[in-house]
Amino acid sequence: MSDPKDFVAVVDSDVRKTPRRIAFITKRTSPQVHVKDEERVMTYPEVFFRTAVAVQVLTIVLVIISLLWDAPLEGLADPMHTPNPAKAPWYFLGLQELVSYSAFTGGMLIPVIVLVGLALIPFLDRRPGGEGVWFGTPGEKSTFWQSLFFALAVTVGMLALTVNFGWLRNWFPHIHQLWIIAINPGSLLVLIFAAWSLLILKRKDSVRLAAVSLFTCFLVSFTLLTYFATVHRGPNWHFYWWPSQWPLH
Amino acid sequence: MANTIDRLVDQVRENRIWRSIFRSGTGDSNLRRSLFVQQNVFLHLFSVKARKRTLEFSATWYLGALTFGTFLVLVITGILLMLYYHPSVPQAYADMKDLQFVVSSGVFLRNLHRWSAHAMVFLVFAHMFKVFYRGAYRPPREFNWVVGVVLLLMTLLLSYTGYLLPWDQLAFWAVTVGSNIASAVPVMGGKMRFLMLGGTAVNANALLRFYVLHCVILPFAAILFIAIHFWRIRKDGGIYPGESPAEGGAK
Repeated sequence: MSDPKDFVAVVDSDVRKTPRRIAFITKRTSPQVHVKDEERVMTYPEVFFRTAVAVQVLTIVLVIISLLWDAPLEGLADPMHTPNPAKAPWYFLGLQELVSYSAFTGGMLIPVIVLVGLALIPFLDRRPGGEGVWFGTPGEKSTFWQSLFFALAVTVGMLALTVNFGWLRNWFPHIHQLWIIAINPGSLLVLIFAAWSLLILKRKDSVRLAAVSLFTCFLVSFTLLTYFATVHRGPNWHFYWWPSQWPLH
Repeated sequence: MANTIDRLVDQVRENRIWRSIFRSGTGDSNLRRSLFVQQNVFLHLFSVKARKRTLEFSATWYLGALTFGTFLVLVITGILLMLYYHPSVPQAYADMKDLQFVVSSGVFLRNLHRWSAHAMVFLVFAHMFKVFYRGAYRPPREFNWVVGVVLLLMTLLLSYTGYLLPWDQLAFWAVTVGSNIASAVPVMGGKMRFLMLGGTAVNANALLRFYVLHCVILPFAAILFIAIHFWRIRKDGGIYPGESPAEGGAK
């Protein structure tokens, strides 16, 4: 007599086992196909608890900061008394610096270009490879450093030029405003960065590298302009090395 | 002692009322853990399983989670602040002074709200830079990147509208500077500014509009987009775990 139980029923709750699928991939291969079967954990509790701990640590840090430093509060709003300089919140100060060159370019054109450009990135750069890896495709790291130093040099140079020699309005006092709207340090920065990115695109033949270069230029100029307007811009939006040098009034 | 607590917890979770709300029940099987996520209207935005490597700190630095954390802190402190705040001139400023001198822990509440707001703006940018340099926006994640850009814009708008509410000199002139930028838009710039401020200058109408935007419209819009953002992570196949040890790849 053989054993009547010729099979074993097991309820397998091994989290590492995921359902196997057979897929036929034709033509274009999406990056998802390359994902190998790998070790998995349950979202509950593993992911939720780790996230909760991260958020708790963050909250503790924020609470400590709030206990140590008070939020600024100045006098009652007074439309008759304009502080000099009147500055926007820090994350808009880079924009305010651009607005000081041209309200249209800095306040409208460049923000729209940046936002649309950001939204378009994944639709332009579609070549699979290197997903989720720091500087995942060949040449990204060197492109990043090149673009970083390039953007640093261009932005610092442009600021130094503007501070020391002024701009078209100082050179040609009667020039039409349209010239300044078209040609100002902000629009020139955008053009130079776009040209740089196109150069990378042409030389490296990689949309990803072109995107990295343009994005890095954005990162550098955004950071620099924000810093510059925060620290070095004083009354009447004039240049000062430190706020302590602002004239008293 | 621990046993007693465990038994008590189990009893509560086996209770009919509890089970009518949370159907997954007790036990430590993975089936139950899956049901816990699947059967919860909020949690089912997330997948039931995650690749283990995505949990490593280096994969994400938890920047997205931390950004959401600041958002939670802001919602909680924001609601508490609303209890002490009138969006009218000059009462708004008097309320700031009350927070400072009358309300228990009022200064702390405002500090926490303000520093968290700055932290959120910073973290949103950091999150975006990290996602970009890791190339984590590739198909099929294009749309979620765009949702992220929308959330960046919303974060900035939330912060900007909140900036006016204390109605002090800093708030008033920062928003005046910002709203003047709107005038630079050709043809309809002036109209846009009028719509934004409810007048030709920053005044009581502008305060009320910014208050409604800051406390109702923008937070609800942000919650909606955050939900889509999270849900799309699941739909797009989870977070990229980074370099897989099997494949090697360039570093």
